[in-house]
Amino acid sequence: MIEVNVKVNDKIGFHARTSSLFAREAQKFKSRIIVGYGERVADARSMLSLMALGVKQGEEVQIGAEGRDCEQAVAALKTLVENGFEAGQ
Amino acid sequence: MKTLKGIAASPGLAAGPAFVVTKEKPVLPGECMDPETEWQRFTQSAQQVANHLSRLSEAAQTGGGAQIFSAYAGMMDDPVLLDKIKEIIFLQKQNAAFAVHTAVEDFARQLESSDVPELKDRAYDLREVGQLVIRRFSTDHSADPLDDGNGFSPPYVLPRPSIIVADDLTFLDTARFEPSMVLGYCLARGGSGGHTAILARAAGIPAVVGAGPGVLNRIMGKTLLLNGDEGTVTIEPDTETMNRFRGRKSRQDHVSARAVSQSSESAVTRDGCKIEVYANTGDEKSAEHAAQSGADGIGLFRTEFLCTPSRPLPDEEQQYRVYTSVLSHFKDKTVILRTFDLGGDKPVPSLHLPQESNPFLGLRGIRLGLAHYDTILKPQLRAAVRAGQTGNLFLMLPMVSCPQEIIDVRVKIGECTRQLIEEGFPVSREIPVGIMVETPAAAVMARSLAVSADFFSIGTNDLTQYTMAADRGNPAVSHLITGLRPAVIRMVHFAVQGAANTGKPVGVCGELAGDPRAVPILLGLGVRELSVNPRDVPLIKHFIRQLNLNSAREIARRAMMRDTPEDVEALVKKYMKDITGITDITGIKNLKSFPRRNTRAVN
Repeated sequence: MIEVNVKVNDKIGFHARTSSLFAREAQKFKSRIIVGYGERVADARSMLSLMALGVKQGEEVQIGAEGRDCEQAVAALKTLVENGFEAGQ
Repeated sequence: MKTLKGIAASPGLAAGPAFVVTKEKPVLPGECMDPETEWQRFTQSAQQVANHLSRLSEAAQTGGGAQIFSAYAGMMDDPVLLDKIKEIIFLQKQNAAFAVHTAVEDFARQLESSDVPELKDRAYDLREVGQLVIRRFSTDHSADPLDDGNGFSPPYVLPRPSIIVADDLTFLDTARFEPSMVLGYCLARGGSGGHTAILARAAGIPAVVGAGPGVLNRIMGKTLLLNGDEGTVTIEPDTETMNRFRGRKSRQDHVSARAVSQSSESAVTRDGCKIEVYANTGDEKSAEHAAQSGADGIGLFRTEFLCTPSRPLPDEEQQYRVYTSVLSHFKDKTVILRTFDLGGDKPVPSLHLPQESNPFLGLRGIRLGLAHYDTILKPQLRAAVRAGQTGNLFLMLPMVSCPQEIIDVRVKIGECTRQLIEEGFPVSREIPVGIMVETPAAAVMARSLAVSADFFSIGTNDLTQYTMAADRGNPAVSHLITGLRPAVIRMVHFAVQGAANTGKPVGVCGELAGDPRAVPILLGLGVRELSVNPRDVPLIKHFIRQLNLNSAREIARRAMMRDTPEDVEALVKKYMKDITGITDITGIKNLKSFPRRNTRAVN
């Protein structure tokens, strides 16, 4: 299991657009990926679960992955969040 | 005549008839078949709804709208939602409609109970998508008056340009209107983060939300005055109010139109000083938009925007292609490329850099570029030198804090140039190298840096954070970042003074460059180039044409003697009328969001 902390800078954290982009990216990998916020945990492939975390601007989340491509998964998702969710647009 | 006060969700003024949208209460069908069949019904409907939303996404008028539709289309792939629905169908033996309703409600309630206000609005959207799926289960579509016979809601036909009035509107509702017929939105509920507000701001039309349930009372067809600047809606205005409103709107429209029509011309102050108005951008499309909006060039091209998760560091050829494309939109006008501003909070995964405890003060910008020269800076310098033969390209270095950094880069450029010539590339033009002034060191040592830098561009965003020692993302201290800070004004002054006797130009590319309250001070201090958002180019040029530079110098001199941002702002307000003839500064700020389409005539 590999885990990193990421600060969310986007104006309202994980909202519809950003959750959807994050979930889509997470679905590209084979590993099991979760996002932790406080005591809540969400399946990274579920956009609705990510929204329901209620992550606010400037807050930190943990991205954890387990599986063969866990390192790439975590790096890609961390970059996505830090680039303001601008995924190759 | 009645005036209601709500929340100003999108600026601008509109007058027109009200068109009321009412929602029918949806009904859940009651029949129940075997689980396998119910699951098939669900997956089929879900697929159709996803396709419908994707089509709406493609047809959307704005990028923001397209993204919202696309996001909700993705909801149908949400594995947790699908698992929940499957469980209710197979284990609880309920029908598909009940399963969808329950699963969606579960998530909707979680969003509603969040203390992030925007998520509450999303709960409403979520239920709407759920309803779309459920409606398709019903075999008798004609029972639903909102149905076009295929299970999807038909477009609303507006008889004339109208102001849409509703209790609340989902993103699906807004897609049912022909955009050119919508003058503005007025909602009884909702917040400024809601979809309607976002859409209205993107489209450049006014919106007032949270006006209260009273706004819906027998309002269909009545004349409304919608004031998105102040957040008010006036119902059935009397003649005097209507005339005043029309006058104000007419003046606003007139200024906007004039600014846009003159945007390609130079911005020259009343006393004859030409100010370059450039644009800040980070991709080809935006650069094209900037050229069309009349920008005199690009003052800041954020090359790190070319870095994506799938392609963290574009290679020399990829960069060459983008740079030449951008240059082609500007012919012989200035295009300033900032070398990769990476590191700190903008990581480069392929480098496996150790995590820093203080990324803001760490290995970033030019420091990172030089420390990892072969991977980061070299391909970029080569691409820039090659592309620089096709136009007026300038290089700019981020996060400079001492002269050695500039000298090192110049040496490297020399090496690259020699190598390129050996490899047979045509190189005849020397690329000028300037720097971002964003560290306090760069500001106070400007004189020394001016020896090796060809130009300065003051990045007021980061400069303000470093000078005030406060993080704009930290709510506990972000109040120290806002406003016209005297400390920052002095930093700008140092930078300008440093370049003063060298003849090297000084520009500003941070947010202050696009703030009409700051512009007189910046120009008064001696800045002669402003680089702003492409959309703000016409307005800032227009504003500059109203300014008298001598008066601006006087304002800047006095601003330097003030101690608080409030004092500075009061000073600017007081003299704004004298130097520009503009009395209403709020009006000016709201002119910043130019409509993307022609505004309809007031009836």
